[in-house]
Amino acid sequence: MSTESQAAAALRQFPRRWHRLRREWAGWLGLALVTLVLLMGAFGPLLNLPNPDFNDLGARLMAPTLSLAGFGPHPLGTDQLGRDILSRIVFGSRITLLVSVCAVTLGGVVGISIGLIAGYFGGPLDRILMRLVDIQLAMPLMLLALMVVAATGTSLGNLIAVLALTSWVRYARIVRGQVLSVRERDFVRSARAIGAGTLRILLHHILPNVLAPSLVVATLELGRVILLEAALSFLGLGIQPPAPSWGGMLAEGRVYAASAWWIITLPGLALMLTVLGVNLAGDWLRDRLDPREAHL
Amino acid sequence: MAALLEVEDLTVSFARGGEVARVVSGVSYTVEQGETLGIVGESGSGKSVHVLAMLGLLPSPPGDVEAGRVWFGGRDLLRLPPSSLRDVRGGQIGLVFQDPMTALNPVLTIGRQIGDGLTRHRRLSRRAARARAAELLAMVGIAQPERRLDQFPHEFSGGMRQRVMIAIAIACEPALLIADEPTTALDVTVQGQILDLLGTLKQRLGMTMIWITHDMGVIAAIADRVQVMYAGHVMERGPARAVFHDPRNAYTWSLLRALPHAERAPGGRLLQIPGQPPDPFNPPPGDPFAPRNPFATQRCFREMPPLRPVPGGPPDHLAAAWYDLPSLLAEKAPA
Amino acid sequence: MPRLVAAKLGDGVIAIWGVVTIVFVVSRLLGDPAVLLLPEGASQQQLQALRASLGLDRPIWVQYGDFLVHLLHGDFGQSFQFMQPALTVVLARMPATLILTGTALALGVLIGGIAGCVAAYRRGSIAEFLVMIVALLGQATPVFWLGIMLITFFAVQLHWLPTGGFGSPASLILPALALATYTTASIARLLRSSMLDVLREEYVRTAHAKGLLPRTVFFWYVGRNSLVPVLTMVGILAGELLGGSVVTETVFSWPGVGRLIVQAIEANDFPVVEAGVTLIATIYVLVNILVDLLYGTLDPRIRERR
Repeated sequence: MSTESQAAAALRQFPRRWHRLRREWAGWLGLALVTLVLLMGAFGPLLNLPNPDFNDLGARLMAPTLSLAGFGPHPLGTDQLGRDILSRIVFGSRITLLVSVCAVTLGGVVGISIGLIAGYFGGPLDRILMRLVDIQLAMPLMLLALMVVAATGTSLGNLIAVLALTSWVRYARIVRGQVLSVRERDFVRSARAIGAGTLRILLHHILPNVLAPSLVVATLELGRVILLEAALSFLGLGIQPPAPSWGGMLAEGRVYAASAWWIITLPGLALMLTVLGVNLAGDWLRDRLDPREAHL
Repeated sequence: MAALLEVEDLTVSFARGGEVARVVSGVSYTVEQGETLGIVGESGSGKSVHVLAMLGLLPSPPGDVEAGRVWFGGRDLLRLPPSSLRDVRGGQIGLVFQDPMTALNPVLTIGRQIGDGLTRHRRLSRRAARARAAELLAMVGIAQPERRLDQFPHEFSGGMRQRVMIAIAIACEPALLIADEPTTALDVTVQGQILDLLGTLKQRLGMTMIWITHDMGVIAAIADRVQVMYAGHVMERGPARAVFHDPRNAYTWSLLRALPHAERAPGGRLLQIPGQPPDPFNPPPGDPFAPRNPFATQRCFREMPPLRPVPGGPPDHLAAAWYDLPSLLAEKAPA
Repeated sequence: MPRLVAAKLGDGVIAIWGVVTIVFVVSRLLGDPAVLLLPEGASQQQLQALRASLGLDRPIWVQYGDFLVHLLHGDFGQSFQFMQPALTVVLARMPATLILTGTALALGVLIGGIAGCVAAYRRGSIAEFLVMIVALLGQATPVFWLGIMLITFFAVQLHWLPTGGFGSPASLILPALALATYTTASIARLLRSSMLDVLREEYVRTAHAKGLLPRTVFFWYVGRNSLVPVLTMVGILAGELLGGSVVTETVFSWPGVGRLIVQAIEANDFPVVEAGVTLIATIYVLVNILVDLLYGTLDPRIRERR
């Protein structure tokens, strides 16, 4: 094809591509938001931000100085102890992301393992494990998390463990279902016939098939876990002050809500946009991996 | 006698991702009272789409009726207000769809699904509708109709579900019955039964039928007149006997040749029509069948031939061809 | 059918037993209530005496067995804070929580249901776009933040509604709205996608081909078939609501069981924690049993499998 007709052909493709972009806008927005938060968390500290824990009582409750003229000393204002809000939001994102991602990963590892075992071995082991799932699901997760955190302490490790605890059941259910359907497929049978060990079968043959739905569960869980961690921090049972956490900022700043709106509104907005991004990205992933379930 | 249905220049297009495809191009035909018109074509020929368009059943954002008129009972169906069109559907025109497995509502009883057309169009009470539904089930050959009325679709086999679909379609004794590939999804033995059933019903109720299929064998069994469609155009139309014995369009001829013949020696290969139907989003100019037509002339590639009466045939046998098929066939021996 | 109900109740009982055991174990780990109940500087003997009187010095197995036996009589023990039977304390607050979560669920189903239908039927329109945007935001918004914003705006700035507490019907509005947000958003999205799936089905086309009235098609063909996944979600949402009420009750000072449990946790008042969580779990299990049984009425194919 000559260059002219190549260009013409590309141009004719344009309406198709544009329409596909229009339909997938949500996924792109989600990815953009998530990337933004990740960048903020990863590179935020490299910016020249004031220390998030630095109390400057002389600069209490300053309104945001961000304007068309420039950033000013406190672009998003200060809180009741004079700490810079922007800085706290950036550093808070690091902790939030750290805790949430670790929790979802840990929950995933545990949940996938249990799902694999229950699905592959079946029998009484399966029944017991699924009973366990039922029991845990019978209790609203918030209450479970509350109680366990209160009982075992609010260290970061505990927090991650508790959040993972609320998460593993979703993985276990989905993975078990997948294993049940994959278990009887021919490639597994032939592997067994050549004498492959159980572990090898599980890891090499079955696991790759269950990873895709697990990934989808992971993205959905991430949003939920972020909100749960924020709620726990808000109740004082999550990330402890003075470490900055978005939920904690909301709890501390609550009394100033009417007079100093930025203390409450901005961290809440950060939470909302982060979870929105994660949810949108998760939906996009789900549509890609399992087109039967496509909703948007 | 005035025709029961008259389709005039119907043109339907589909939009996808900013592009538009014309799937039915200027199709015109009539259906006389009491006859059975068979419409043949492969997928993408527009044979099903134009019927849906006629009755306003085409999903409207992607689909669009660009032009045409459809005369039925003295009115143009395409320009009727929705409420009047709803009266026509089911009440005067019955429709039987292809896949009985998915065409019935899984959560309602059969009796209910047959009855709701009756309560709607004939204003029957629930009890009267139920009685009539039982009669209809018996008419379509379902045993123990009373018991069956309270069962759900998943309790019926495929063939029985199709009978139920037929019962639903004829419930209000419509003047016209349109069957869109009614036997395609069924096994061969059941196909035969359904064909017989429809033949019987046609006799008893004096129904006029349009039968849409890709199966020439079925057409041969039941159609009075045949219309062959390809890529949204009518390629040939005429009395069944004339079209089968004396095809004048190369596509019709290819379809007939592709049928397995009892006389052919066993072990011979089935004939196929080489190539693919054109992409509706990028149609080539001229006759859409030309690229696959061994008899195509230069003019076929430039200009779509009009549908006109064939020389030396009955006046109602029409074909769209720039070439003269009989003489070309006499020259070339069939492959 | 009765056999089915019995089987489900059996499952439910086992689940509740599991919950009760977990709660028992965890709440004992909370800490020593004796330390909090006695004034500072109390001697070891006093602490020991208090523990003995509360039955906390016996081996854990004995305590557990005792606990279960009493449980069957509906006796969770005495609340350490209020010196009343724990169950009584919890039951006193239950209506408040039920009113709040019930209202939130009703709002969610009503508004979410309507929004979902509109979005499905008006595919590609501005209305659908707005519904989707609002639903997406609603699912991402933290309940407590929304609650605080609502209070700040409507109660403090505008003085239209009270800031909290449990008095008039007006005090129900803001907490119910905050709590209902996630529910409404989830139901709207799910119903929309479920309806879009159903609208593509052949039997809907058959219904139109029969010339049925649009409202007949909507209720009996589209609606009935769209509800099953939504029903599942309602069961799950009931749990989220019961759990989420904890935070909402805290923000709005609503005297419900959730807030009670949080306070009891802080005070190491385990009978109340046990009673509260068990009761809420029981309600949740019952709701899910109900949902399970309702499937049968909606979809006859499911009935058959039993």
